[in-house]
Amino acid sequence: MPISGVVIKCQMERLGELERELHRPGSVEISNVLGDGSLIAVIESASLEEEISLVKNIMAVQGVLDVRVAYHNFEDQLMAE
Amino acid sequence: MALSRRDFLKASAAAAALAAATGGRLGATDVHAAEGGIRWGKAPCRFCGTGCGVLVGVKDGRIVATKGDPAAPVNKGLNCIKGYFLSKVLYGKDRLTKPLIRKGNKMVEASWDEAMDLIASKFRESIAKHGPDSVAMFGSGQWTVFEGYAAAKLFKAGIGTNNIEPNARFCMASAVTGFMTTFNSDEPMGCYDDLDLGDTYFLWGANMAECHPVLFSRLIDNRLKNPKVKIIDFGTRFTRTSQMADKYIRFNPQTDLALLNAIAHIIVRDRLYDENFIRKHVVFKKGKTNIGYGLEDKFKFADDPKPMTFDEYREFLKPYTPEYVSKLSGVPAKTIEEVARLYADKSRKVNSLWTMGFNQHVRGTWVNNLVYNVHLLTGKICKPGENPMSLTGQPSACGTAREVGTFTHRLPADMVVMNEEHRKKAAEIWGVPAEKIPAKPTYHATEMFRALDRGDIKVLWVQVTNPFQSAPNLSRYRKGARKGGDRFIIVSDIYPTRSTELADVVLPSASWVEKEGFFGNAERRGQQWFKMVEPPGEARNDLWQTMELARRLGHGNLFPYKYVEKEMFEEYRKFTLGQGKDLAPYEAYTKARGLRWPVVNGKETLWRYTEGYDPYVKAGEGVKFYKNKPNDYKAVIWARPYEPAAEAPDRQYPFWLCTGRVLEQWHTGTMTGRVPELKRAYGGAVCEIHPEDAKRLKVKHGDKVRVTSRRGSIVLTADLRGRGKAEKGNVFVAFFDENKMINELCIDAYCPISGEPDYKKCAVKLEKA
Ligand code: SF4
Repeated sequence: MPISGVVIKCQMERLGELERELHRPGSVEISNVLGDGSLIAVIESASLEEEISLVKNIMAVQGVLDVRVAYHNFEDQLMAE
Repeated sequence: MALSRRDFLKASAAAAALAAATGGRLGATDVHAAEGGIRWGKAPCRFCGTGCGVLVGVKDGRIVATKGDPAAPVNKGLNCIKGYFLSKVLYGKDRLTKPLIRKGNKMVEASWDEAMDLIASKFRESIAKHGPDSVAMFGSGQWTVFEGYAAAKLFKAGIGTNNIEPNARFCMASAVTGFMTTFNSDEPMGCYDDLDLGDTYFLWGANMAECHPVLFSRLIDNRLKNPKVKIIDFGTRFTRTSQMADKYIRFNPQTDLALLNAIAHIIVRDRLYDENFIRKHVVFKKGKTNIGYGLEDKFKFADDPKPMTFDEYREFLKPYTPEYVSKLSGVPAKTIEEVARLYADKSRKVNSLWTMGFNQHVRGTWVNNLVYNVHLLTGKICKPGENPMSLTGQPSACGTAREVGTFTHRLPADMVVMNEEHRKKAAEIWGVPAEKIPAKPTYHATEMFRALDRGDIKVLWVQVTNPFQSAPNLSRYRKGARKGGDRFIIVSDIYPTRSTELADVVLPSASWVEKEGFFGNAERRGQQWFKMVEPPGEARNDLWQTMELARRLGHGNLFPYKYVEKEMFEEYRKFTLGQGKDLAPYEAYTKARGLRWPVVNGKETLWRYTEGYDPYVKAGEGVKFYKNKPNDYKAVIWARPYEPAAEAPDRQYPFWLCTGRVLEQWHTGTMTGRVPELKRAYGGAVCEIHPEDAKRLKVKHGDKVRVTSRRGSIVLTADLRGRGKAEKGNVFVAFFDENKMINELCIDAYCPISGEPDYKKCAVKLEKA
């Protein structure tokens, strides 16, 4: 199950709403809200495919300017292959 | 996975993201700390020319994790969504692991010895029978510097042919000829710091949000901090970039030439130029006009530059009134006036950014010249935060293709084979007689594939690229490749592709961190990495493959190294020293997160030609275009007219077709295509159509449409609601899809000066399928 740490850049005026909207325990967990309009999130999923889907969906949400990837671990997925 | 390990990784993920977002003030700071048995090493990203730094985590001989490198100045710890694909680049299930030799219609596994013996015998036979110009190498802007250098040295100094080209001819050759004709030195004066320091950004034909996402993020960050920042997107298609820009200016394809002349017209008409800068640093020139499109085989063109005065240039600009250009381009005259004033506004720090929209253009060199004109007229160049900047699409288009000089006409460090002094210098460093290097360039990429089709080239080796999907007017060149006779094709790659299927020998290659490497990005930054994991099966480095051919052809003496990469780099470095292109010793790159050349006395250069930054500019000189000796160390403002595209819509083929990339896929999709979900989600390339055009054709979103040009025809799914939105009369199709090869429809017309084809403009018709 891959795990990634991402920074979600948001429109300032939507930051609070997006923090609530995007938070999904077990798949997208918002760990920090930063003063510059960024949300720090940890993304967990069953597969890389699902992980990328989650990120693409976040990118498509109104008010999300950008998603950038800081950390990506896929060790047990490789072991399973 | 045990919960504790999972919690640990989640905490690591959150800490890394927090650290990157806060510049290390919060979260993890020691990125090198061994993390649960993972060993980390640095490398540049494998994908685009941005050159982001990545930390690669290895455990038990496999890559298990990647991080944005917080110490990398390009991306400061954050990668774009393609960061996810780095895990898949090396571990697709169908990696090539053994050499394959064609036996009839089958590819049969062989040993390296068998494969290399066969290749060497084909080279020997062809050279003996038809001469050295009957064999060729087609390489890549994804070659490491070592791979490109070894191939250029073998072909030019060993075999004695200039038959070597990179796929970069298809993507940034016009940027090179633009730089060379204006400044007499390739590559930008500015750097990515301009993205943080400027306040006005004109994007020309560049979908940065999807194709250079990390750089676009820097622009967006700049705008969040500075309300003065404006991003203006000139385009022929509404993209994610347009959506985020402050202003989107739609223009008719090809009229960028006229628009830039209109902007110059207004700047000159209203005396908004920087007179002092022009007097000190600029000369004016004109070249030939009606220069053709290279549609016929063996097309030749040589420009004939003539000096002109500022007054003559002023006369040249006269017809480009905002009103006239408005009719041509579809941009309101008022908008053209506003844009010209923004460009000239003395209180603004102005930057222009472009990629394939300018370069893949039948007047690609001209349009590059024209954007420099505007910056030279206004003196907004060579200053922190104010520069024109050409971006690249491949990770080492600059470092390998351009700087090493893996084009038919080039030698390392801006030298060319046509110049006797240059040949002598190269021959001396390479330890061969100067006569060995032929003085005449042979074929640029499109002509190379034409020569293969005609049978003038018999043996072609393709490394790290997929030309039988990416060449324009593809059907002709695919058929040409399998015409038989003495033709023999070798393709080195890591996965099966539309090019390996046409090969007589397929060689399994090592990729990225399976070998030691060096890339150079779009801001002159050279970046080194060490080998971190073994390649699978019998796959081997392309560098080894080339040297192995050299050895078998009796040219092994060209590669006398023990520590190949380091010694080869030190030899290559000799070309650069004292030329304003100075590279640092190899050791320095093993530690740094890249260095921007010229690197003199251990110090990199952020802004070229600029006093206080560039060590070649003396105190008191301010700005000096010191590479342009033939023009008295001045830059050239070129009078380049608007001329139409090679093929424009007409009654029979009423739409413009533009091709390009999308966020989720990179180039021909051979690496990103290894993620199955994306293949499903982006099941095939789609055809973006404007809703009004679709309505007229009775086509709904999701319907099948047949797209046909004079060269080919394919059926695609109509997309009326995608991220990218076609303008009326235009359609857009991405070129990544190996099952829908849109390049079959593209015209192989090219810029006569750069030889780069125009993938952005040809005429097609649409029918409901
Ligand atoms: S912007 Fe380019 S170099 Fe940077 S992470 Fe994305 S694909 Fe890699």
